[in-house]
Amino acid sequence: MRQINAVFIKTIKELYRNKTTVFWTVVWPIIFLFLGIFLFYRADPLSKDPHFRAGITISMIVFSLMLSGFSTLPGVIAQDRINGLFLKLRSMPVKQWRDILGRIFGLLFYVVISAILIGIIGVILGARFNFTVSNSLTSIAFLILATISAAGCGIIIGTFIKNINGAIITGVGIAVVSMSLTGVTFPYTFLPKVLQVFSRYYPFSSSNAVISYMLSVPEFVGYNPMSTLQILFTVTISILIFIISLILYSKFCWRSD
Amino acid sequence: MVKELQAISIKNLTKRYGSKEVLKNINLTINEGEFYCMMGPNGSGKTTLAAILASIREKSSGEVKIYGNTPEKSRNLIGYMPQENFASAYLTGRENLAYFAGLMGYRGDEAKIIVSELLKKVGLKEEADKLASKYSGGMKKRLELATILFNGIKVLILDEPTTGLDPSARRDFFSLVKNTSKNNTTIFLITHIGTDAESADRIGLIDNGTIVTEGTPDELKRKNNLKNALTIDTGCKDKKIKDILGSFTDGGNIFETDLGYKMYSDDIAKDIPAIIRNLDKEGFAVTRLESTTSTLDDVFYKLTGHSIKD
Repeated sequence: MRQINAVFIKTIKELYRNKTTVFWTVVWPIIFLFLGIFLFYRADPLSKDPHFRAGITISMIVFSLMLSGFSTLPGVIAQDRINGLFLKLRSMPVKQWRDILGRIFGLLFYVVISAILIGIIGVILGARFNFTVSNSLTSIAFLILATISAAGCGIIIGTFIKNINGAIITGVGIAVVSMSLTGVTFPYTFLPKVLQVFSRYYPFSSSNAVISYMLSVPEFVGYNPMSTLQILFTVTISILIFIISLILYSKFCWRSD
Repeated sequence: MVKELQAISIKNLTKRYGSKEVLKNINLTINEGEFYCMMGPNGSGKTTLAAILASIREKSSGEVKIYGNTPEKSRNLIGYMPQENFASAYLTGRENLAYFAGLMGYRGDEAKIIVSELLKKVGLKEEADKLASKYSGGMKKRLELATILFNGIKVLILDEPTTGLDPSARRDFFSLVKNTSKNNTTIFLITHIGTDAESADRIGLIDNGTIVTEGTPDELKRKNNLKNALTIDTGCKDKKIKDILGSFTDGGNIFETDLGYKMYSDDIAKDIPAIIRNLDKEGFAVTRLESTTSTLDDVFYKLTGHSIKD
């Protein structure tokens, strides 16, 4: 527990003190939130609807968590590898799984604070959320699920791409392209049929849809994401990505031979 | 007679990467409290040896024991300092140490106390709350040294710890290592810098995966009959030059360098005017001449026929 806590504190401090990270994962989604509400959807009468604005806010929270998991985490892992930290850790009585859990908890904390910040800005811009106990709990659960699966993807990228820039750019590339293809950053109804199917089963767009369905209005989502099959698939695939990433990290990330 | 306690024991150690053998049948014993230096050029296998001792890499065959156990089972006793600056640039000196204290199992007030003690020990008390990114190279190394001085660590493995430091900072670093480590702490230093190696009690010279010789710094110089060195840059190589130089030494102590020759003799200063005169008589101009006390680099040069900086 002490080792996990030590890594957790280090991760949080590193994330918050890196101004570039804070800009791209917190400030940038907030800029997009402004653009979404006041520019991209201006012509749409729905854009005045507070629940619609809540939907945009939630999308930006998912955007933020995806960027944090996909690019920030592998960037930090690549940096630590280049600095020789993994060699140092490997020589110490430290377990790999404790190191990675500390990193993931750090990322989770960062994402929650970012989500709260983006949410507050959303409320200031007129977003209104349907907060009920069950809606909120379900949303938090899916936010955590999306975060651990984004962290899982980031860990896999960081494990295999040794170069810092390579790891970050790969993460940003996968995050931005997949967000565009699955309708996280624009309405699901705009997507062609084949991408709509993909969007329902891609864990991030699926979690985004569930949270939006719960806290904004169903019209914003464009379909009912609460089907048993979709929920089951999203939960399973998210946990699977996470477990695979832990195994790969433990097996390959600290390896020096 | 009391038998000395063996801190590190290596028997017939071999390490292969594919078909390449980087460590060949290494045998080495280091006693508790000893400061041992393994000196060799890049690619000689010294970093691989340190990595095996620090349980970062696995051996191919042979036996490696730290206080009677495998390196993997001795991680609590080992303090490893890699070449790289592994301290986080985004954390202060104190926060970096607190992170390592947490990894070592300290918490709360106990962690705070040990961190403050270590910062004081390595002379970073005043700079403790500055970000590590603002530290000079020497300060970063001192901070990283503090990470291997936690209680219970008995074997320090330092892999080229002074990389990037100027000679004065290197001297300061080693005097700090000696002053801060406890009497029964064993130090295993890896370096290719002769002046760093001079700090050690015993030195092993490694080349091409084999330990070429061992001894104290003075023993190595004495054993190899190296007292003074003279570097003569002539801008060309010629048998006649070698013959002239050979007449001032026993002939076996002359080596070619990039720009001329290097020779070893007991009383070289006395011979310098005659050497220049004789070379001049044969039409060879001396562009640079440097007389120095022979170093461990010279010992390495004499034993292997190539420079440690190659």
